[in-house]
Amino acid sequence: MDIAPVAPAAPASRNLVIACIEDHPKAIKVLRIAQQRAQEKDGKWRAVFVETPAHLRQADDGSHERMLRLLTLAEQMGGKTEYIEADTTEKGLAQLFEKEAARIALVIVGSMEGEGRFGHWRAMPWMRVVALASQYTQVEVVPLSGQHYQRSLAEKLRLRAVRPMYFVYALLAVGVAYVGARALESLLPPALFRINEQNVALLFMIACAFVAGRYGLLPGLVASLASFATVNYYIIAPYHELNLNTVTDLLSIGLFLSAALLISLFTSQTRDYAQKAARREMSTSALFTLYRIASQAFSREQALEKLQHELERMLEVDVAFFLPPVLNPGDIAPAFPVELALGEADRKALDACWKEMKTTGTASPFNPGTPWRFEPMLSQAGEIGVLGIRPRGKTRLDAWFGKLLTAIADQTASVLEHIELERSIAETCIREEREKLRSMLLSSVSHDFKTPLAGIIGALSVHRSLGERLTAAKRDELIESAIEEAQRLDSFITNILDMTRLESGNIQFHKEWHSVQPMIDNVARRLRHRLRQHPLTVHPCPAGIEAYMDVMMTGQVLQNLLDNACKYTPAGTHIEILCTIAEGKGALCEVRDHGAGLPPEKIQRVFDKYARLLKKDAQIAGTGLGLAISKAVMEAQGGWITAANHPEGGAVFTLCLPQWRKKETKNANADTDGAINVPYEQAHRGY
Amino acid sequence: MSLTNKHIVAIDDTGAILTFLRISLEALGASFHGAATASGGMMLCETEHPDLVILDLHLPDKEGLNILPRLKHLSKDRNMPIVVLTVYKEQEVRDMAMAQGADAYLTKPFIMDDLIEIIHNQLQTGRDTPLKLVKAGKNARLLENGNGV
Repeated sequence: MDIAPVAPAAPASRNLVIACIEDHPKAIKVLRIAQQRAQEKDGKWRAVFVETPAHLRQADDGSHERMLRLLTLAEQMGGKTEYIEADTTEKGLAQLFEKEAARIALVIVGSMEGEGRFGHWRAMPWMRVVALASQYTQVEVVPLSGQHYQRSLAEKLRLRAVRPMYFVYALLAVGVAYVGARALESLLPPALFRINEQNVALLFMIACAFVAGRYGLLPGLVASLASFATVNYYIIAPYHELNLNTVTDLLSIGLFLSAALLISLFTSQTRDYAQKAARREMSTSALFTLYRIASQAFSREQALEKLQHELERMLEVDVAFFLPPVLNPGDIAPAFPVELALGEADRKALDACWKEMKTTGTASPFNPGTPWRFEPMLSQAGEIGVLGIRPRGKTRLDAWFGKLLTAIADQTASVLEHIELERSIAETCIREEREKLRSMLLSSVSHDFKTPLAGIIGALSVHRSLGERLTAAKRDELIESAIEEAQRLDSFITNILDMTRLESGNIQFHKEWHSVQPMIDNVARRLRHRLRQHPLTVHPCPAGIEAYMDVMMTGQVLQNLLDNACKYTPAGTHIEILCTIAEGKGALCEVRDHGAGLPPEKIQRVFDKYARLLKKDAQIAGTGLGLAISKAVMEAQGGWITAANHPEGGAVFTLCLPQWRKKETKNANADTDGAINVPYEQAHRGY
Repeated sequence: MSLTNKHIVAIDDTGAILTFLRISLEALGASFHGAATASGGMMLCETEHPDLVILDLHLPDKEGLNILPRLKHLSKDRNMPIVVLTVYKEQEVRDMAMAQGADAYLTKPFIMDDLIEIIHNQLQTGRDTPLKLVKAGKNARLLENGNGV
C-alpha cells in the first residue's frame, strides 16, 4: 500500500494564532493580542486552556467559573476555544503543537514575571511553555503585569523629534560662544585674558552642551562640528582656513563630538526618568481617580460624567464613552457626552472596535483614518462599551499611552460593572423592602378592617340570637356599638382612599371662608361616642375668627387628631382643643391630651406614612395613615401641622391655617384684634 | 343553653366586642368581666378565678400569645379553658396558640352562636375533649383543640 508523502505545509497556510490562557485577572490581554495578531495575519485564532491535576487541586471555587467566562469571551471575540486535559501544561500544549504544527504561526503566552515576591517561580511554567513553543513557531510573550515597553535608541536620543529650527538654534549658540570669546578678549586686559585654543574650547563646549541637552543629539552634533570649525578657522593658527592635519585637530573634533553625544545621552536619560516619573504619576493618578469615582458614584451616568471630566483634565485629550443603547444592545452609541457628532470614518472605527473588540482609530493598525482612538472596555463579564479619546495638540499616542488607555478602558469597565452590580443589589433590597411593607400593610389593613367588622357581626348576631331575652336598653346598646364600629370602618376606608387620592393629586380642595368654632363643635359632636371615655374640653375660639380652608378636609384632620388622642391615651385622659391667633403665622388650632406624650425620638417621624406600621410593637388599631393624611391635607391648603410634647405633659398637635380674618359680629370683643391667647382656664364647654 | 353560675373573663382591646360579649353572656346567665389590656386581664383572672377565659391575641400592652403560658399556669389546679379570639387566620399563629395552651381558636369576625357553642363544649367537657369539629354556620371557621377547617 502506498502512502502519499505528506507535503510540508506552505508558509502561507500558517495563519493560526494560539493564545495560551490561564486564570489571571489580566488574561484578557492575551485574548486581545491574539485577536489583533490573527487579524494582521488574516488568520484564525484559538484560546487554549490546559487543565492539569495540579490546577484542579489548587484552584479555588471561582477559578473554574472565571475560566469558563474567559473562554466564552474568547468565542465572543471571534476566536475558537480548546480545552485540553493533560498531566502538565507542557504535555497538553505539546500535543496541540504536534497536531497543528503546520498551521500555527504564532503562540501568545502571558508572562506573570514581577508579580510579588515569588514571581519568578510563578513565571517558571510559562518560561517552559515559551521554550516548548519556540521549537515549533514564533512566540510572543505578553506581560500581564507592569509596563514592559522598552524605548529604542532612536527614541532615547530623540532623533525622531528633531525640528529644522533646532539646527538654527545650534548655529546661533556657536555664534554666541564666538562673540562671547571675542568680547572677553576685547573687554579684559591682555594680561588677564588672552584667547587661545584651551580657554576658547571651554566656551564652545558650553554651547555644545547646551544644544545637546536642550535639543537632542543631532543639533548637538551640528553644534560640535560648527564649534570645531569656528575654533579651527578663526582662533587657531593658521587663521581663516580649515586644517585637519594635526593630531590636535582630530582630537579637538573628537572631543567636541564625544561631549555632544554623551551630554545628549545623559540629558535624554534624565528626561526619560522625569518623563517616566511623570507618566507613572499620571497612570497612578488616572487609575486612582477611577477607583475614587467608582467608590463615590451612585449611577452610571454620574460616574461617566466624572470620569470624562477627570480623564480630559489629566490626559489632555477629548474623552467620550460609548455604551450599547438599552433598546438595541447590539449597537453602540455615545453615552457621555450624549450629543457627540461622529463622522463616517469615526463611526466605522467605533463599530469595528465594538464588534471586533479591538483597538481602532488613530495610531492603531485598524481604521487609522480618524482623529479618534477607540478602546474596547472589557471586563471579566465581556465587553461593556467603548472608550474613545481624541488627542489634542501635543499629546502623542505612543506605546505607553496606548497601554495606559487599555488599562483605563479595562478599569472603567470594572467601575461600570461594579456600579451596575450595586444598583442591582440596591434594587433587590428596595423591592424586598417594598414587598415587606406591602405585606405588612395588607396584614395591618386586614386586621383593621376585621376588628370593627367583628364588632358589627358579633353585635348583630347577638341581637338576632338573643334579642328576645334582652331588654330594650341592651338591644339599643348593641345597635349603637355596631353603628360605632361601622363608622370606624368607614373612617379607615376614607383614610385609605384619601391618602390614595392625595398622593395621586386627584383630590380637589374647596377652600372658602369658614368660622373655626363651628367646625370644631361639629367634629366634637360627631365623635361624642368615641370620646365617651375621654373628657373633651373645647376652649372658645377668639370671637368671629374665620379661616380660608376646606372645612370638610380640615374637620377630617381634627377628627384624626382626636381619634389618635383616644387611641393612644388610657381611658379617662383629658383632651383639650384650643384655638388661638398667632401674628405672622395664622389661626392655630391645638389638640392636647394629658397622656404620656410622644416618645421624643419618634416625634419627627409621627407624620411618616405607615410610621406605626414599621413599629414592631404596633398594637393599636388603625392603618397608621391618619397623621400622614393630616399633614398632606394641611400642606395642600398652604398650612402645616406639628407635633410636640407639652411642657406639663401630654402630646400637642397644632394645626395652622395661615389665611384667617376676623368677621365682625355683634358679640365680637373689641379688644380682640387677631392676636388673642385664650387661657386654658377659660374652658367652658365640655363634651 | 344556659351558662348560669359560670364566670367568664374576656381580654380584648375592642370595646364593641367586650360590649356584645358582656350583653350576650350575661343574658345567658354568666357573670362577665372584661379587660382591654393583657395586664388588666391577668389581674382579673388572678382575682376572679373565672371558669373560662376569652383571649384576643392583639393587645395594646402585650401579645396575647405571651400571656397564654401564664394563664395556663393559673389554671393548673382547676379547669379554666382558654378560647382564643383573633383576626389571625394563619396556620402558624394557630399552631403557636395551641402549643402555648389555648383550648380553642376562633377567628374574627365570628357569629356569637359559634362562640357560645364553643364555650358550652369547653365548659361541659373540659380540656380532655377528644378532637371535635364544630360547624360554624355557613363559613366553617371554628377550630377546636387545634383542628378544623
